[in-house]
Amino acid sequence: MNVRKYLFFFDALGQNAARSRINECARANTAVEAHELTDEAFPDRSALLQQVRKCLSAQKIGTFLHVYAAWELLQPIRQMAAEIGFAEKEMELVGFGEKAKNVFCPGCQKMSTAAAGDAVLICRHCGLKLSVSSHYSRRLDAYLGYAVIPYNGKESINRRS
Amino acid sequence: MNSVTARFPFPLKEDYYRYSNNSVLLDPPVAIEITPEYQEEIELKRRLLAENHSQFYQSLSHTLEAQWEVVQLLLEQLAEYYPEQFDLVRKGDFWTFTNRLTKETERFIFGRAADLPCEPLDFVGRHVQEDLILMGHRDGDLYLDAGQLCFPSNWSLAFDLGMTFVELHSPIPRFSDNNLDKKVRDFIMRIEPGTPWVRRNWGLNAGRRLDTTPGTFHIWGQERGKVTEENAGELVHMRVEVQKLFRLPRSYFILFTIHTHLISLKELSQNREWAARLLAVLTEIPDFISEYKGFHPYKDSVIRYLSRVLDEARE
Repeated sequence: MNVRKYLFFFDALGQNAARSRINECARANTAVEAHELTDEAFPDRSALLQQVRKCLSAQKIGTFLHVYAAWELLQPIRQMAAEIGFAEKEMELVGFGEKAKNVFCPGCQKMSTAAAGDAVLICRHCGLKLSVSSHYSRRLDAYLGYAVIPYNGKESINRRS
Repeated sequence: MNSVTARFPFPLKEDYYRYSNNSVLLDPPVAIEITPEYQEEIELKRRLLAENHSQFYQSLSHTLEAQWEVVQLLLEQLAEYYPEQFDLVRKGDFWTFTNRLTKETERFIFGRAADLPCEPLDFVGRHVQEDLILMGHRDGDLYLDAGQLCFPSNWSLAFDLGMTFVELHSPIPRFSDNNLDKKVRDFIMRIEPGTPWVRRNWGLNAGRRLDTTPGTFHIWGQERGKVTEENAGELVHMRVEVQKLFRLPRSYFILFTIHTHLISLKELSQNREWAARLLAVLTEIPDFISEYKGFHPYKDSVIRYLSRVLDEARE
């Protein structure tokens, strides 16, 4: 692809890595446009995503997209860019911090998603309450969920790790 | 002493327990054992497989040759070591296997998958009390490639399929201290055809249940909250897994068989030496092991129960 412009979005977590990448791109004699997505500028997440959508929609052919941001911000931007028409090879997406996880329910053997930092979730298929363990399967790209049950008035988790 | 107590494979050899590679040579080299619970356990296995097949059976497609090797090993051993209950007639590749306990006769061409009602490992597993695990040995590592696992000690075959030995055991706290996990894996990778090994693993269960999968923990796990010093004798069971390791000579896979035995603490205490040994181990055992093995919530009730039984025996 013939790159005419490098378009950057980055947040507080991704800013150091983004800035050194911007410097590299700037040396290539191609236009660089960079947007900082800070909590100060966009206290509201949906306003932030709206602004990103507006910017992505306005791009012409030949724009290469770089996103350096927390996983939870990266995922909706990736989805949005794909909807607008960016191909996978026109994007560099670098996630930071904790990533949303696939969680395997041992009861119904189906997958749910835990947001970054969530230790407990409800299986969206069978309703079992699951604690997200650190046991990981590369084949499934998922973490094992262990059932949480009431026990002596408290909650007991099957296996702690 | 009743018959259950007489034949229970009590695993503790000293008053102290930590994880270790405690395998010894298996003599005689038999992968399976038939006990009086055969009918009951085979019926349970087949019911579990019928109700929720993927929970209890999983395989990767490259395991088919090794699966047939397991069929050969186990059917030959059943006929050789239990000739009154089982019979195997081979005419070339045409095999006739008779199971007199289930009153079944199976006829098939050895190696022809279409002749069996299910995959070979799944088929042969329905005739033995053992759980059967196949581990592939390649690229200097061991992989969980197939298994019929109806009586797991709280681990999920559907989730763990395809993992390396080290990944598989990563939930066990401190099992990787001093590289014990890699040492055990390396030991298994050195096992040679014709030289099988055996070890015993143990735990305590609240309730009498063989199929303790994490998928039904919300049901059987509730029993843990009900244990008291008064009911521990009937409610709490010692669970022993007799685990055997065989090298399959043609496919070079490892066959891992697990025979699970349960005995109530009341039955176990008929042997005072066992009760005293278990009491000593539980008194000393660190929390990270009792939590992982799942009996931490009611360990003190069991200790009080065993102490009382031993005190009464001395009076």
